[in-house]
Amino acid sequence: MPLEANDAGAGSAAGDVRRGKAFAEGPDSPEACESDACDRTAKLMGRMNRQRHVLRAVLERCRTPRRLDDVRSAVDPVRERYRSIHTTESLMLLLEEAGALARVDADGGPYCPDGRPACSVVAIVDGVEYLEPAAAPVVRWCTTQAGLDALRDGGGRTPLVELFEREAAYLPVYKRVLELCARDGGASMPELAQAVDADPLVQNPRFYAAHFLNDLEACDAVAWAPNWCVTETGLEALEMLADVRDERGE
Amino acid sequence: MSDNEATAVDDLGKLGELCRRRGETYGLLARFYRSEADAGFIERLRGMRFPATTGNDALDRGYRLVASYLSRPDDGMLLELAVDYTRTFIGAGVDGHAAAYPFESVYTSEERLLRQDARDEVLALYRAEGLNKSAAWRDEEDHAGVEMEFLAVLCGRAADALEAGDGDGAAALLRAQHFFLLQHPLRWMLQLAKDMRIFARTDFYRGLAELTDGFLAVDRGFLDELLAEDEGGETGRAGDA
Repeated sequence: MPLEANDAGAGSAAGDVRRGKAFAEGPDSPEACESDACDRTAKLMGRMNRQRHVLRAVLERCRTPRRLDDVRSAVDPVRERYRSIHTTESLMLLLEEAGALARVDADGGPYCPDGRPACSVVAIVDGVEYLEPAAAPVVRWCTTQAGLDALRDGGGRTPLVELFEREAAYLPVYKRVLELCARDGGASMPELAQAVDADPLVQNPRFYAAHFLNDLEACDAVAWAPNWCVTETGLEALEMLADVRDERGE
Repeated sequence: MSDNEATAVDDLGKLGELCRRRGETYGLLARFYRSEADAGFIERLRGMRFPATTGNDALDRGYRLVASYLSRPDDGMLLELAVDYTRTFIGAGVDGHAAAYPFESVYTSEERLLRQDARDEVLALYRAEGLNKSAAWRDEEDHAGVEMEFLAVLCGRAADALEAGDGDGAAALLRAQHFFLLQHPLRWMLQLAKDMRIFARTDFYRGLAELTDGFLAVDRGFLDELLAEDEGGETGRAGDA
């Protein structure tokens, strides 16, 4: 029987999971535990920035407890666009280790594999006792509070604002890249290179189109699908740059 | 057929069945050591029954640990086992003490190197029995998996001989098993099992350490007793009037 969505109400088992009470190790207080999980999750997302779309897809999918196959079927198509050695399963294990994801049992309570909850069954055949592996318990994966916080914090206007403040001299270039990516069908790398690489603004210090693309991708303003396309955040970025004059792009 | 002959044939049949089961256990150990667990191996293990009480504590512990581990959900299991296999048998250091390296040469050579005398000796024994390293096997001949597989092959041949009523042939094969077991696996695999207990983190590979300890001891005891009886003339007598 599928578990119903749980809004993390007080006292609910899934709510306990989301409040970080699923972890077998760590400091005593739930608050400290959750703070550690938030830090570890933030570090993981930073360290695996290139995979953050896949990590976010996992966390989104697991807002309600899901079985592994269910998560795989939803996330594997996203992984196709962000190839790496990591499988969906290995990323889920990393998220679990960071505290962004937790396993719950059929009742929604925390699942602890190290607690040896399952014992092998004893079968008696012709008077001789044998051990048989018991049927594995049903386990589902659920996003914790730390994972929900990471979903909330990721992307949005703040990183863009910081980027545009930091790179104010190159705003025309960012605008040009975003406009090209906002076209129907997006923009290919050669098209972006042709539009950017010869610009006097990027000659000294020398930058290429990929530099600006990487910055925008890090802010979730563009995504590869399969050409470089602008996202909702990217459209917001274009609005932010509406008053910027791009003489070369005009 | 006289009653004595019938009893002798029946005894050989039972001994043959026992040898076949010994061979299956050696084959199972060989698979554990040969490579990481895959979905097929896990499924095969899940379909098995493991003796609950063998009379050997290490063997009982080993079966219990493996059976309990297999009772867990699949989520992440293969990845966890692949990581633990690497941690246990390959390691990440370069000082020769970073894992339980499953090669006899490492345990029996002074400098813990590969391809030492042990490897040459086991290769000669394999060839004496008409066996050689398969082209698909990229590792050394004194790997734990290969030595266990050799014993599995000899057990299978002994079982065939016994079922065919060839007591003398079976006796020769049992003596070959005894010799190989004493000269090779028992010289190093008990220490390997000790090292596995240090490096392995899953009950799957900790259980393998116990199984190795327990089964090699049990099988040695079995062969010691059987061959002592044989010297007394009680086996290999099918067909005598």
